Amino acid sequence: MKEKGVGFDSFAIGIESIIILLLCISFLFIQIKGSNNLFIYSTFNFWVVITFLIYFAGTFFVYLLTSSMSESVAFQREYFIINISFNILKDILLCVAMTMKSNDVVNEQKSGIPDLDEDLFISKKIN
Amino acid sequence: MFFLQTAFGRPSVLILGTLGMFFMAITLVSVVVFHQRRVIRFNKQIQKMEEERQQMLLRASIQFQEEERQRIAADLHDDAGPLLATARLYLNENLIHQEPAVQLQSIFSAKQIIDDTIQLIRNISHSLMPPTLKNFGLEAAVKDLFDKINGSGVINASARFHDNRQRLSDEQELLVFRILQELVTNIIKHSSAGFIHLTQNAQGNIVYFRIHHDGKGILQADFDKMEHNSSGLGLKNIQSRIRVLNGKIFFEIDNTHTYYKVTIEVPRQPNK
Repeated sequence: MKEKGVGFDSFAIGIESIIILLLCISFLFIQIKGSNNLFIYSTFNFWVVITFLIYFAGTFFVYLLTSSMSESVAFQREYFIINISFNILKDILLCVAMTMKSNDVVNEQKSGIPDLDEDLFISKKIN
Repeated sequence: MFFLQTAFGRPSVLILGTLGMFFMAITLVSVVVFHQRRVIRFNKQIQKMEEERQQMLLRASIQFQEEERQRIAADLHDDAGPLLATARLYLNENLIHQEPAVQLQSIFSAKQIIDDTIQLIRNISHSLMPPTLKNFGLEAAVKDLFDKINGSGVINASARFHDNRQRLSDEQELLVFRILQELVTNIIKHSSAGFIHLTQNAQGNIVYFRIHHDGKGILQADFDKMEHNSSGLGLKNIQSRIRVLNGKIFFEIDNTHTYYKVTIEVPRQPNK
């Protein structure tokens, strides 16, 4: 008999995955409905959301079956491979998201209005 | 290897479920991305069309101004110029002929010519800005216009203003007058109508003008089509003036198919 608080709680993780998947889908739905003229894949948020979507969709069944099939050797191998694969995919997608974020920062810096009061400041300093 | 064997040799629920969920997620993302791309492309197309339309209206307006200037230039050059030159000739004559009778005759002729020139310049000025509109407002200007049309005897024109206690601003009155002038000109030129009647009324903050005529008119669809395709400037100018007024224009036919109606809605603006 398992002790309370020890082991893998598939039910809780299943619920968590479903909630996160629903949130991701609702985000995408809002993006579809909004009339933003910016391409969705050029935003940081989109990449973060699809990272969550793909990771939780991919690992959904693994986590769901873990508590009942953790004793099976075959399952353990499959669990290892699926988990590793989706972790790598998740990291790659998050890297892409971070690249998008740094691009945004560069663009913001480029499009900023130069300080037009600079001369005034200099003249004040000289005086 | 074991993973592949399990996946392709003896498919397990876990592998199939995982792959199914993964592809569903990918499909969802693809659908969103492609849908959004399509929407953006569609929006850009609409924006481009709107820009082209604005360009067309602007070009029409500029062309209209140029034509108006050419007309004024031609009037001044062809009519006022020769008249003044002739008056100058008569006055020159006075310097050569010293006989009082001849001098008197030539001064009289010069005076006649100068009077004609004054009348001509007045006509040009009136065509640019009707003095009745400037001094007495839209109602008087429209009635004056309709009296002139009636005077020709070809067509019966009448106008009735029901609620003109609160007048439109001067700019709006000028724009409405130009629109009505253009519409009436079009009716006279193209519709072979026997009568034209203008009715004005107001409801809240909106002033309505409706022209009825019994000739061959156009409907809203024709107006939309002609405004885009026609080479003429009249309808384009009407549309651009309506836009400036923030108003609306409707071309309709009555239920009995006897009279055509053109309705203009103009929201009141405070007089500057």
